[in-house]
Amino acid sequence: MAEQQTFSECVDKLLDDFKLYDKTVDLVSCWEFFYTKVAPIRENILHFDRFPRLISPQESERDRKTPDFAVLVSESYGLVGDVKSGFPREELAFLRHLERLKKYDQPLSFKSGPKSKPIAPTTHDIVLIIPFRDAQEIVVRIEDLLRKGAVKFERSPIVFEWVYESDEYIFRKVARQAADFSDASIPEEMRLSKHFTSLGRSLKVSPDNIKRINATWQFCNDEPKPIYTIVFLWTKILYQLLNEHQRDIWRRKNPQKELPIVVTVRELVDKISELYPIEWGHWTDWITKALDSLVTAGLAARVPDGRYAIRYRNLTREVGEPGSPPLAARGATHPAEYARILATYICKGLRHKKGETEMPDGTPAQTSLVFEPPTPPKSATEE
Amino acid sequence: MPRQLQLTGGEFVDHWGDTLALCAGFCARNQRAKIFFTTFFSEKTPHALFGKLSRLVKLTKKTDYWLGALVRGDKGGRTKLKFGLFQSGDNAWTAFTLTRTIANEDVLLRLLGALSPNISEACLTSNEIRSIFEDIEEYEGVTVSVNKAVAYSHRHEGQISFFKNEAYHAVFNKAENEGKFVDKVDFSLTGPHYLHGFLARNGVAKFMAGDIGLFQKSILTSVARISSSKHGVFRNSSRQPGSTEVSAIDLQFGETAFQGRDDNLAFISSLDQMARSGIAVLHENPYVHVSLIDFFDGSAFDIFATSRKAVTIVPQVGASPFSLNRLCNHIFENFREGLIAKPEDKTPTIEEVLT
Repeated sequence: MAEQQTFSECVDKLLDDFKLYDKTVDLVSCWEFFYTKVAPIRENILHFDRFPRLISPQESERDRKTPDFAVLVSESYGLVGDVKSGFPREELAFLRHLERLKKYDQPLSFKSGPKSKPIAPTTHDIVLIIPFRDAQEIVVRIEDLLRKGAVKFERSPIVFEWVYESDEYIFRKVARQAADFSDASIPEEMRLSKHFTSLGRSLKVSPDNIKRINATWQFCNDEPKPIYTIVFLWTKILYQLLNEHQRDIWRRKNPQKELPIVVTVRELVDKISELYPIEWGHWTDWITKALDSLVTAGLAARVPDGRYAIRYRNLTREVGEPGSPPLAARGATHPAEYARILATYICKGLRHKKGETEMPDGTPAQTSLVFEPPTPPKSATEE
Repeated sequence: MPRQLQLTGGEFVDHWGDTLALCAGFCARNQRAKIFFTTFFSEKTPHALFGKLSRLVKLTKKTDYWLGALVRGDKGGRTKLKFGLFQSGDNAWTAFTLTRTIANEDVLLRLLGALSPNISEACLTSNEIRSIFEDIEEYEGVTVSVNKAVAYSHRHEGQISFFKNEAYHAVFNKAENEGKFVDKVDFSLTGPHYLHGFLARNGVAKFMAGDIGLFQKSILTSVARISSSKHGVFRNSSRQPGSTEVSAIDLQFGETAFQGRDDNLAFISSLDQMARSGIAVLHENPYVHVSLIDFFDGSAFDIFATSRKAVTIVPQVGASPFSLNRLCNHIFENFREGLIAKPEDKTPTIEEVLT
């Protein structure tokens, strides 16, 4: 029974990871919507970058910074946005977390267009986007640390809180914070300082506004957990790697018949970039981790020459723990959907691995990147 | 396999209209005979379409239509079924055959089914079938009555209603009130014209007796016209490789369909039931975002329920009109029926989003 709970906890953890990443995607999409779809903002910015890799003019490519989005509003002003699910409660960890933001606190080159040269604006601001429940307290703690001189910023992070309410994502600048925008160089109607600070307005974005963006970009600049990438591969990419003969088999017969796909990471990344507008990425890393997770799940095997043999098929009638009777496992509350199905495969694979590598104290060893050690008890929230 | 009926005096003559008139005459003399029609959409010509099946189907060009002969066995044995094929609209084609048995109807449907995903079958909603009958009454001055009809529940598999000898609007009203969709109707027209026919939501129509000209004008043309407008929306809707531009399609229900999590789950559950497909739920509540793959031809879609009265489908690269048609019809049958439309492109203003 205890093992069953561990299994279901494992599945729930992966599904939480899946949802958390998708939430970040949503939040980035809201800001992409604001800067690229709303008049007159969209006509008056140089570029919104969903996958920024910013470097200081003095630094090398290796030192690139990857916030969740970056906007080059004009040649004199830019904005860096980072979505955080929270800050650690413990003092030192909080400080370190804050110090990590200092990497954005220096002149940075922003992308200025799809094929244009990067531009380092005269100044830029750093915006943190944090859930409503923690935002006020985090602002108080940040300002306390700044007052004490424990950390110094030339461009103090400006904290926004977000909440989903009345069918909308609502973003507000947290009240009574000293930090403000340095956007005096851009036209007044474009200034966030006017809208959010002087007028105290909120940005309201409905899911309806971002659905087209999310249909194009299922990812953001944060590294996805392998479960997220696997679901994307299984439902949008792998079929495209089947040959005509294989497709014909599924057309004429049952698509639950397993069809092997032998592929390298490179080939898979190439296929994704052929179908989706990926600009750059850690895609090689992301895909490698996803394929390794598929190996753990028993849905792929490593074969010579760095290739993977994927056992591709329609898994939707196999809901529940692999090997269990599908109908018995099909709960009334859960649809037979791929995030859950693939999570069960991964957890089943991890359980096998855990049997081999269980720690002496009984705690599960980290056998794969998809299964993280338990969160330390003192940390109220995670990044 | 029962042999197909043969027309005396030159079946499948030069023009399809004359052929239908001959068939109708045969039906008048033979009570169980009927002309079976099925309408589908294809951007290919019949020759290109049936090319893959050329060993099974011999096509002959007539003056304004094609004559198809399905032969038994691979080596050109006896003819199993003859059928006519005429263009009934923009990319719309209607196949027909004279028959006395359902077996022959199935043979023709299976043959066309083998051409998927290169063809999409016609698809009508209950409201569209009702509107066809309303138009006939209005323009022809006839009375439409339902001899038999079958309706299925959107959400409860196995719940079926049968109707017999009722006014058509009573049948449609009852079905709607019971949360059902009308699947097929055997109907009669009385008044200045007489017609006995059959119409199903998959575009299958049957002529049993009466005025074949009226049947062609009021039923077949309407099926092609209504389905053609949907097919027009489905065409060119898939996203181009590498492009960020998407072409969304809305299914508008006209009334509140999503009031809370239960409706979201009911919608997701209806998608989950689509045969040969798989879903991934990216969002379940407070709004729905589902990624769906149709394993029949690899078409992928992002499906959103972000407003109370509609769902939006975004076809991904290479998504076929066939699969879109299949998906929309599946939602109409298993969740609720609605209108298919391209959403308006509206540019929000800063005043609307900053408040």
